Amino acid sequence: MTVDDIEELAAINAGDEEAMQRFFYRHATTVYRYVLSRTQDQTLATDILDVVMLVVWQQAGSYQKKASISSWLIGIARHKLLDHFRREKRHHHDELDETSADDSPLSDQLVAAAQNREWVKHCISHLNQLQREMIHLAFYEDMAYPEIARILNCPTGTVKSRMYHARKALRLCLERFAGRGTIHAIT
Amino acid sequence: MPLPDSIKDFQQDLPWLANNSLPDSESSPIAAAVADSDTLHKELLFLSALRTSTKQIQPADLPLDFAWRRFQQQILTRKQQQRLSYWRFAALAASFLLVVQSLILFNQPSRIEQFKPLASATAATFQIRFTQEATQGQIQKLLRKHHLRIIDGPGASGLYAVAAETDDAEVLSQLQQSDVVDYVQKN
Repeated sequence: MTVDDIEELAAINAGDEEAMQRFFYRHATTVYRYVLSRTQDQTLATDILDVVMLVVWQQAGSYQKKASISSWLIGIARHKLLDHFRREKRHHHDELDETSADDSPLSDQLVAAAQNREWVKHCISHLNQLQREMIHLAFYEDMAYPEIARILNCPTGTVKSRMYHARKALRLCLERFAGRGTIHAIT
Repeated sequence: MPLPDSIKDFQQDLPWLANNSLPDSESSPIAAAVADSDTLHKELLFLSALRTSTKQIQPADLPLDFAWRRFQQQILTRKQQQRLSYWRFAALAASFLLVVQSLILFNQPSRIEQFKPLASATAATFQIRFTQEATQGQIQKLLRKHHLRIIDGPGASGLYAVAAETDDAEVLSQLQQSDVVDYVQKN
């Protein structure tokens, strides 16, 4: 959280549209990418971004300095996204089954596979929503697990467990690549 | 071959060692365990590679200018809605006040009967002529005694019109017996 953010939130609270624009340009991408990481739907990500920024515009004063601005925004985005899912009653079943993932020590081949952007991108896109969310918050936003627990409103143990399962699912997916060496082999 | 439990415990914390979000107090024992275990070391390499790849995967870029203009439109719409709801509220409040005011007015008991004219009440009027010998003082004394006041006169024939506050038959009789009254008649 920067001094700019705090000053700007105060200005936004007083109805300053220019301050809102600066805030928007600085943080919109964070919100957009978070929603995209869960939904992979650009239209929905833009819609949720608007809703989140509207909350900022109308309730900038409700920000509590306990959390970072990113956590605050992602927390709002997550709530709005859950509302959206509840309305749509939509469930995603495009998840990787990680139950059969091997727990044995990693091979050098697997470490190398994790360095392949295309393979990682493919595997992340096949994670379930909660796992994609974990990977995004931990590896894209570099958030600490207590911060993630606050956003997800769950115990820190749950965060670690979800991350563990996300990692297992990614490992399973990347093992297929590492064994066959081509993306077409598993699509 | 499954991993021993001690390694599994550290494994759950490795993502946060990989994204550098652990405080020193937590990271030191994990880093020490990683240094002692080839399995954990490979796991950390795997997670670090995943993190780097995740950061390199550019989610679709958000067109910020377009997104801002779109959001600005939302602010405008919201402002218009607020203005409209303000006027709606004002109109409703005005109507409500009008109804309340009307109800108060209509439910008030009529107090017209209770009003008294600023001048004394007139219950009866008389035509009166005083004797030629009557002095100003005698006339005023008589008028005061019977609560009379001159409302017209004297006419060409010396007649005054006087008003009495009460319609008392006694007044006429006493006036007729008075030494200073030459002629008196009730109207």
